[in-house]
Amino acid sequence: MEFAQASAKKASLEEVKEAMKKDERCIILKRFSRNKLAVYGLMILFFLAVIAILAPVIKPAGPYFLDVSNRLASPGNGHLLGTDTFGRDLLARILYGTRISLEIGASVSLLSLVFGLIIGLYASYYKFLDQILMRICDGISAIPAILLAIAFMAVLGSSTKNVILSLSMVYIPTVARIARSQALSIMELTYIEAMRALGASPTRIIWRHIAPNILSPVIVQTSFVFAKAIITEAALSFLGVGVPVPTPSLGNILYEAKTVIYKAWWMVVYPGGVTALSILGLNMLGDGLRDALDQHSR
Amino acid sequence: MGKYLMKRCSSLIPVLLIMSFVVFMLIHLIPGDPAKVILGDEATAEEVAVLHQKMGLDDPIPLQYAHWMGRIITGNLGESIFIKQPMGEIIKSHMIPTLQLTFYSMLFAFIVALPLGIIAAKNRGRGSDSFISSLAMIGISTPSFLLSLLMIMFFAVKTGLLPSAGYKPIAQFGIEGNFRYMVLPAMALGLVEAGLLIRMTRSSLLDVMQNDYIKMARAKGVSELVIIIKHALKNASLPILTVMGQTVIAVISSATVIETIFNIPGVGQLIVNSVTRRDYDVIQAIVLVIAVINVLMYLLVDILYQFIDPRIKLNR
Amino acid sequence: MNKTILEIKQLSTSFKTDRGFLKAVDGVSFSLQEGEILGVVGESGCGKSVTMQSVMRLYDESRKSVDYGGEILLENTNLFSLTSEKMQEIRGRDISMIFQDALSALDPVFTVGNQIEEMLKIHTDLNPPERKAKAIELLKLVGINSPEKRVDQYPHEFSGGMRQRIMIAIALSCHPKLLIADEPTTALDVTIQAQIIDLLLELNKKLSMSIILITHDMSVIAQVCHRVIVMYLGQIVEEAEVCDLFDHPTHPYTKGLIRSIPNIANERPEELFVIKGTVPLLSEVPQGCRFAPRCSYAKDICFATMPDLKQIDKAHNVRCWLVEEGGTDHAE
Repeated sequence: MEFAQASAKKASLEEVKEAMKKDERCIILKRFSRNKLAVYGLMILFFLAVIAILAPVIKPAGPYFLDVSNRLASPGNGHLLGTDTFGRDLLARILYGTRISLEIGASVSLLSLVFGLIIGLYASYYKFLDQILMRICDGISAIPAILLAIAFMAVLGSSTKNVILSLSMVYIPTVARIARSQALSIMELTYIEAMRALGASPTRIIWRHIAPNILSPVIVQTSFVFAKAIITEAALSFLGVGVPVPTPSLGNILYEAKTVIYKAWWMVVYPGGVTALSILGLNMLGDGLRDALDQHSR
Repeated sequence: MGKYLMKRCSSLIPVLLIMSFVVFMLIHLIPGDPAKVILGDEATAEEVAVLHQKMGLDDPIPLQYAHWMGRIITGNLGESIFIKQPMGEIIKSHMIPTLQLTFYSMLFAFIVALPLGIIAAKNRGRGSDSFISSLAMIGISTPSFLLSLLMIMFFAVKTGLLPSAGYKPIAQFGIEGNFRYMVLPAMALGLVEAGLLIRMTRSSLLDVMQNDYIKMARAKGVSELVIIIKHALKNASLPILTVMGQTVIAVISSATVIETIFNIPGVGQLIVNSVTRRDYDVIQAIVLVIAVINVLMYLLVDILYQFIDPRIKLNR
Repeated sequence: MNKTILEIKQLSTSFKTDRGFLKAVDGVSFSLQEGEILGVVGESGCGKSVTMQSVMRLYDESRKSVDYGGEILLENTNLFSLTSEKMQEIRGRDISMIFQDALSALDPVFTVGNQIEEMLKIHTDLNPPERKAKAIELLKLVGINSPEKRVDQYPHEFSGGMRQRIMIAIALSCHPKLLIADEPTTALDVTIQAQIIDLLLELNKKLSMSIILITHDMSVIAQVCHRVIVMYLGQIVEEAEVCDLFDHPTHPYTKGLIRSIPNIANERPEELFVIKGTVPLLSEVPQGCRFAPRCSYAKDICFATMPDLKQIDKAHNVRCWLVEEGGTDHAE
């Protein structure tokens, strides 16, 4: 009889914990939706993601199709945004280019998030790892991002995959540093000591107790990494050492525009506009996330 | 103060070591043989091998690193394979245009951002604040090379007001001549950094305005303008200074791209060319120099802190 | 001799919040004579500071987030009728204020001398060397040793009590007619407290300067003030001359405050006396007498209607249903 009561009580405790977690999520969501900036940012990104995904639908001909008779044509006449030096439709180039740039940004963010978390968490937990890992991260951070990216690309060679790899290596230290400092402050809390005393294994402590509590600021940082990755990829491609032509990316369309800006304003304005828009959306989103999550963790 | 400086310098060393190691490793992993590049396609395999050995490229990489570090410590930055000039000269002559560009950009950024940041903070929540904050947001979201292209299109092509590329050293053309060619690139770089500076100034001022001494100043009859410019700004300047220090490095590295657009013979252009040419020593030397500047900037900011906030005593 | 320096008539101050305008000060009236020390006492949140900051119009009026009502007459000039610039002139020159926490009220990046001279620069015509000399003189006046050296030091280089003295020096620099001291001793230890109080008394006598002393500490009131106002939730509930207040406290709130002072002379009580309940939020102000929910003597009428301030004795007013005009206290 008592046993049944006890297990019934236990069940309801689990339910209460679940309800509380749901409550927390609700509050964050509410705060996020109230932040106008964040919502607009999300909408911008959503819009860009949608048109990027729908690129094959909007322009089934693809970004490589040449309309040779219409090279460097100004907007109009079957080409909504004009054509480039080779006669390729600019709208198509931009749509597919956005796709690639967003893919690169997202991949870099994901890789930075995962590896940055791992490095930061383990560095915060094991003192000797901390010295080594953080010194390496400091060393990498002391070199400006674009210079480092150029160097990595020179080593690895030009390809989209290598752009992702290079940029990840550049930005992992950024995420790692935030993860580590947040983890360190969580570790100050006595319940970690208590867990250790109870015999919990380091893996368990790190992943079940520290990691969930540092996710918010780390994710905010990752959204800013997304923005920076897009900027840096654009710069790399603009210099000619990023995504190799003829694969389109927002940056290398501008690379091709470099020589013809005097004649073809559309080659600069449209891809430039989309680039700035995506970075803007990401920054707004990052700001909004930071404001929404920040109040929660206080 | 001297002791403090020494302490800071000594903690720089591990960072510089790691960084130089990273750079060295990277550069030497670049596929392609400098010896072959120098001698050209006609060279025979033996000639390449001889030059290879002469350049010390046969040694295992750790040994090469040790050699290089040894030379650095004695002040010998190595030699460029392509530019027949002492390394110090090469770096110096390229640093000058880049530093000029950096200076003008920072000046632009400062002149634009500080007043706008103050206005935004003063009018928090109102129309002018939203407007300025949006401008700042757009500023940080626009890559500087994009802004450069747009500015060239407008100023040089459409209206022909300013030159679209090129560089005129001060020695020959005077400050005015030099400046005319610097305006567009400096504005492109400066306006982008201004975005960040505006946000930083605004948020720092808003934080400071919450303090009691601001209320006290009002109770003393100090005018709002003086409150902001004298009391609020000085107290808010620490974070602003920090950001400015970081901005200098950001500008120097963004210059990499800008210099190629405007054809300015600065460090950025040098790096891009050197990577293509596999000119190892130059790349290593430049990255090292930039990193040292980076670290020196932090040191400078820390020292400036002391002059602003009397509570900070660095002589521990 | 006994001229009225300050007269407050039905002052009300409301702040804009998410829930509409909330009245923090509701119909406060009192006057202050030259050379008088007036105490304003009440728990935290009763509106004492808001009243005084309203007198100096310290709240940001440009945003329309604060709304004032009533009149503040400084020697017959209604302060609410002045422009912002004119009001700025009055602040510091005619009315000065000192705050509770001297460390946060002094700008940490400027020297103490600079902050005193700032006052002189705004309100007087003295030239820089004269200002410096006056700053040193003021520091001496408030009891800072070696003023010539200390005038160039920074706030963090002084102790708490000295910082409070520096604030007083700043406040006095232009010989204001009125000094408002907002909890000047709350953040200090008892011995330093005594020094500051002595200093205020001395200055009051020497300079004939009127002082409004805000505090929640009844013992400080007893030592220093000529007259006292007791405030609760934005209203005055009792006002009297100090001896009268302590001899014949009439409003239940006042009685509670006085009983709360631990008394070493009498026998040690079992428990310290505490007024039951807490000050309600401004958004939940009770109907009728605002103190009724916490009052041990409350009757039905107390919960229904707000009592007016009635005079029960010479210079002694009370806002309570339990007293009748002219005397008799039904609360015992």
